[in-house]
Amino acid sequence: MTPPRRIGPSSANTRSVVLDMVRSGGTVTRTELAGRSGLTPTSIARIVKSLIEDGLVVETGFSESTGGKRSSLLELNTAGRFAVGLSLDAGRLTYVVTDLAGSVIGRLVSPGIEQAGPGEDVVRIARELGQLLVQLDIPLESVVGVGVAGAGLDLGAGAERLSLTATEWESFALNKALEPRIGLPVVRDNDAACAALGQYWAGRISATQDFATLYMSNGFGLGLMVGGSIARGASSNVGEIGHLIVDVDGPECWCGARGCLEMLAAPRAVVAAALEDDELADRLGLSRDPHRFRADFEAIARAAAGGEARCCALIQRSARYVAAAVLSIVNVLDLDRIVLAGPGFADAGAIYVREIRDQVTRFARTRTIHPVIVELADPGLDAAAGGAATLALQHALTPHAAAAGWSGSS
Amino acid sequence: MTDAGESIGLVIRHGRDGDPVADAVVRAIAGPLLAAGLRFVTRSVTDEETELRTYRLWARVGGIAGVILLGVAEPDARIRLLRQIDMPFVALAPASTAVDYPAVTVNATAASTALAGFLDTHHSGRCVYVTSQRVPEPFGTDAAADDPAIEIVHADDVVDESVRLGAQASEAAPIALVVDSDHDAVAVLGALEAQGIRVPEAVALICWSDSLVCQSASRPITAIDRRGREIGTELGLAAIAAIHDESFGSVAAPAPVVVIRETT
Repeated sequence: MTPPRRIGPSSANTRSVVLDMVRSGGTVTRTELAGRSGLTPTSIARIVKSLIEDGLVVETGFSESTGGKRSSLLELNTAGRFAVGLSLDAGRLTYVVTDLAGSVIGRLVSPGIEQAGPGEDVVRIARELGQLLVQLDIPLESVVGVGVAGAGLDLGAGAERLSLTATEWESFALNKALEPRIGLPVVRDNDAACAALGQYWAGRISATQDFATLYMSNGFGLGLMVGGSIARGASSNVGEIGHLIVDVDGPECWCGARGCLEMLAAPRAVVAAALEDDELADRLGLSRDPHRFRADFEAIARAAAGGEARCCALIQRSARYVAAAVLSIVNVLDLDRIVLAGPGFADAGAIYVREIRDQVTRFARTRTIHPVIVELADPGLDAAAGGAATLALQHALTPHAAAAGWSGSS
Repeated sequence: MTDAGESIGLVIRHGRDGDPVADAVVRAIAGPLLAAGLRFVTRSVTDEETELRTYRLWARVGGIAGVILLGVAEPDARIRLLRQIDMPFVALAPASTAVDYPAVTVNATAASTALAGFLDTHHSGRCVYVTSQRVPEPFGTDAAADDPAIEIVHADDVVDESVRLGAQASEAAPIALVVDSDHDAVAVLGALEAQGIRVPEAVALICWSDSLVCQSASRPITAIDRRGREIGTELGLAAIAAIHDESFGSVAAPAPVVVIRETT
């Protein structure tokens, strides 16, 4: 039996914790909540009353009689609030609207962010979001917030730009620009962290299991869930696996180091290798346009998934570097589950899974103690957006969970 | 309301989400729409009444230039409504349906035909299709229904039943097992191997719908590619033609193919 989770009645997080217990418990009684939280029945009754008044929790019936008065059954009012998740990707913007339980109500896919700068895109995002809510018949006041998943570091407004993969977005004050336009709170995290959070919140992975989500879009990111919370580090920038060095004599990276994973295995590197073969590039119809490298990568990945030998070799080479990086992560953190997510894995993800699985099975230091599960997120394209909606739900409704992330700062 | 540009809309009924073929279709629809400067909106609903209400809402609030129907019935209340509200539409329809609207048609027995052709050339012995349910139309799902060479077994627990059948097989008397879902196929593969049943020597395992799950299994699983990507792309192109009043008619979905991997 799970021991009671002792929380003080004066804690600002008390209401948040009780709501999270209702969410994770499915159907619960006030007595059970008191037992699990360690709060008095009077405190639980008061908190539950406020949650019902706010439309977050509903009474759905009565428990079976055990001789005394039957207890009311409580559940999350899944249609009581909604959240929006937005994945900022060069290829496409994906909006996902979920209910309180994280179930998807609707989606919008629109052109990606590769064409315009953040200033223009924010105006478009506000318009698209407003129209989507109207088309889904969801009142603005029932939306708790918008989570945004994007690539790259969180450098803060005005910081020096470095990244090839995230360009101006890293140093763009998205929250400040978007919140007044949409009238909703905005919370941002990197796409890998969002994808990991989405896997966890949707219940696909238990809270007791630590795991990492490797996300591939333009580059790579690693979302790390530890004890049911996202690991964030000293500056909320955990997971820069794209700059793990996998070849000390490799090509110079824009970050200043040599042989970073991103330079050797990301879509841009795969496309560059394919373009060295004119016949292959012509046959696949590759654009040779640096701005369209993602579409070119998709063409290569699709051909590889279909068994085209040269494309298989290109993807396999990328996968070997990725597997080497993942093996290091598994060894450092003693993980037993790796989830691959993101549009980069949508077509040839199986090749990456097999290569990573092969390397960790053969070489992980803990291989004689436990297996390492390597699997693809389902569905890869929406993982970050779904997780971003979860991020918005957490921040608005269960801030104790959002704030509990492991930090590397001392 | 602010105008964020035109979208194509799709309403997804619960029960269809999670089907790998439907997922592939929906994912692929967006490609041609984005290339044409359109957006793609999807709405998940539980029942037909909510679906009809959604179309009325879209007609009222604007921004949706046309809709895609995944599957049609005869008669179909949605088609009647969409014509009433003057909303362009295209449909994914069974080939057996008489259509007088733009459609991509799917032959419901095509996957079964592909499977039968594969078995003729690659397998000798008994073939059993183990299923816990009938997969909903319209993706070509009359699994082996009219092929007497393929036995159909309905079972609540596909894994247990598959292991029971597999235990009766041997390399001298092999059996081919076909299962509905990719996750079931992975579970069956693991259970057979845990029982020491040799795959593919004694048991050939085939999944009815190919997916990344089949492709990335510990041993990649032979599966039927139901051509969800191509169907989705065709639907996207048909939707673009429909909203521009261009003639499209109906096109047949490409035929499914068996993708041979390590379990057969």
